[in-house]
Amino acid sequence: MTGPEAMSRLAGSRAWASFAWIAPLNGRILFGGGLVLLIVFIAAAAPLLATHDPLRVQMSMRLMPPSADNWLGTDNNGRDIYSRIVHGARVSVVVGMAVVILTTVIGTFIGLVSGYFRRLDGPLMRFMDALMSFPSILLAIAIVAALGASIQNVVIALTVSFIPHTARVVRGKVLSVREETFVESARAIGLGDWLIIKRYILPNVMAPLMVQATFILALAIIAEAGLSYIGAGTPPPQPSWGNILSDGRAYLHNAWWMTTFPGLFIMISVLGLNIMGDGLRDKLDPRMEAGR
Amino acid sequence: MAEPQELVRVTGLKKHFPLTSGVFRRTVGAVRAVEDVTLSIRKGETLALVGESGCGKSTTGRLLLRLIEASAGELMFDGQDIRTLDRRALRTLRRDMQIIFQDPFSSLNPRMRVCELIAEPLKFHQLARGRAEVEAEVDHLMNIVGLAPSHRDKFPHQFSGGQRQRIGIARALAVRPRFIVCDEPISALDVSIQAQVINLLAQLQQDFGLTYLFISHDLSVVRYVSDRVAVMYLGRIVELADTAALFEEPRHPYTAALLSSIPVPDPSLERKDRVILTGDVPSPSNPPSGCPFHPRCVHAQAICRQEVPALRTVARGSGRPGQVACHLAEDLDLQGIPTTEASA
Repeated sequence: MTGPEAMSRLAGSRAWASFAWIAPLNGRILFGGGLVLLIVFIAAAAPLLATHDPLRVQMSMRLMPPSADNWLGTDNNGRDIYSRIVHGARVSVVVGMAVVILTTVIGTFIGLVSGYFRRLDGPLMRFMDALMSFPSILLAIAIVAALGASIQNVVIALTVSFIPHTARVVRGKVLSVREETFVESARAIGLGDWLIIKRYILPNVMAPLMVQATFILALAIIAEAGLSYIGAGTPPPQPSWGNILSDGRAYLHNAWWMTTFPGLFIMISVLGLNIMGDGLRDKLDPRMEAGR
Repeated sequence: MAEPQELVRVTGLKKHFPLTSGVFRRTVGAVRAVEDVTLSIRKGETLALVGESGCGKSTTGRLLLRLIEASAGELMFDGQDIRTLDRRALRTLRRDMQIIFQDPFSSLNPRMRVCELIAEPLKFHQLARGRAEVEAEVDHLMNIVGLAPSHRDKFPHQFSGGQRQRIGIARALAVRPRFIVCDEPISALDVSIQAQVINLLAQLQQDFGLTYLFISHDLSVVRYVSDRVAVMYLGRIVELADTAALFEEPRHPYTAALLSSIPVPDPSLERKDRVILTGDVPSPSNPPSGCPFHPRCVHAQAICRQEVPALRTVARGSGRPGQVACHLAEDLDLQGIPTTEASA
């Protein structure tokens, strides 16, 4: 059986129909998604991949350059950088995922309600504007400063500062979808507002929402690293990419590996997410849909 | 019963959309989309509503279904005042009245499969219970409108315009309505498909005893499908009569102008004295005083500028009844189109 034939048979059978979307994924989604999966895998398998205890201090091994034993060198306390980065990936992935899920759920709800029920639009969106008028990292610092530095509070802080972005994207799309004739056709049948939102509005705002979610994930990873870097994020000694970077700052001149490698990991994960987001945006653009 | 029963009766229907401006959304005026429409639709007939773009045809159709709330007036459906219905009663009413939309490309939810689109009204109104019954009914409806049931799992974008319109018709038909508003159901379709859809609508009317309000701007189609015609201009009905009477003996200058714009397929039959309207339709937010048509009417007199003509019964030469809103209806000699001329 040849490739396309197999694919069409796959798409043809009902049980497999929901997986048919895999077939035409573009290169950017695969490449970006591959990088993201790699990071997620590292986070999930951290205890297996780590060669050393990330918290074990060994003053005799201070600031050792990369070697066969310490692949990415050691830090100023003699801790293995590679093992710390691998464990740090957990923080990034967990914080990123938690922020994306919370932001998407809450932001989508606010956006749907705001865009659909016009009377709520003014108050809700002015509140979102107020949140948005702070630079998100500054708002997050303020919230962490008020609540105290912990992973949980970082998630809360980043969620609050990213919600307005998702809410705005969703609201904008809702405003255009609600004017479509098919929404009127639902009303003509007698469907109530919530059913219309569920069956007619939400499925038609999913595309920009998914793109937005990948970008929020990237932003959350950067923001978590940023907060940890300035000491407002993951509390030491627990490793996170941000605080490893922060530890290395004082040794930039004599231990380049302390800053380079965590930085590289941040870059790879954010790059992967952005490439994937770009690919998704092209893929999910409704104007391209007819050719699907 | 001598007189056919009325299904829909509209009295003094108005819809003004407020115009707002400034930060505080002050109301600075209103678009008078529908200004005093009175008409009735008899059981089993097709009443055509014709007029230029923006004259309030579609708004009238939506007001009848309460998809838009009217500003004033009375709406009766089968003896029931539907403007006072609460949410629940309105939901029940949706089973009796449906709509077919103009644009089949935007009127179907692109994220739903054909079977879901057609099954939705059945499930919502609990007209079919259980999966097997719903599926059987969906297949039945697809057959009725001329779609192969094997297409049930496809999405709307996989169909042509004509097929999509059939999906829309099946969806409207699913609740077994008595009254359907056809809002320019064929004007977005290829000419080659238009006749098919028109014939389908005619067939369905016959099979299910449907009553249609057929909104259109295509007079040749209207002549073919409708029993009576109402001509609208700037939110008002200016003439309402049996189709043949209206086409042969128009009594309103605007109707005569519309008729004269119908293209004739035979060049040897080219009409000599065509009525060509000048100027644009006035803005419904600032309608002219008196007769809404007077700025463009070649017959306009002083009275036309001052008084709004009421819709009144005016006799035609042949004795066929009809209503006209023109001060000068009796005095004008307007040209119609003889029946012998080619129709759609």
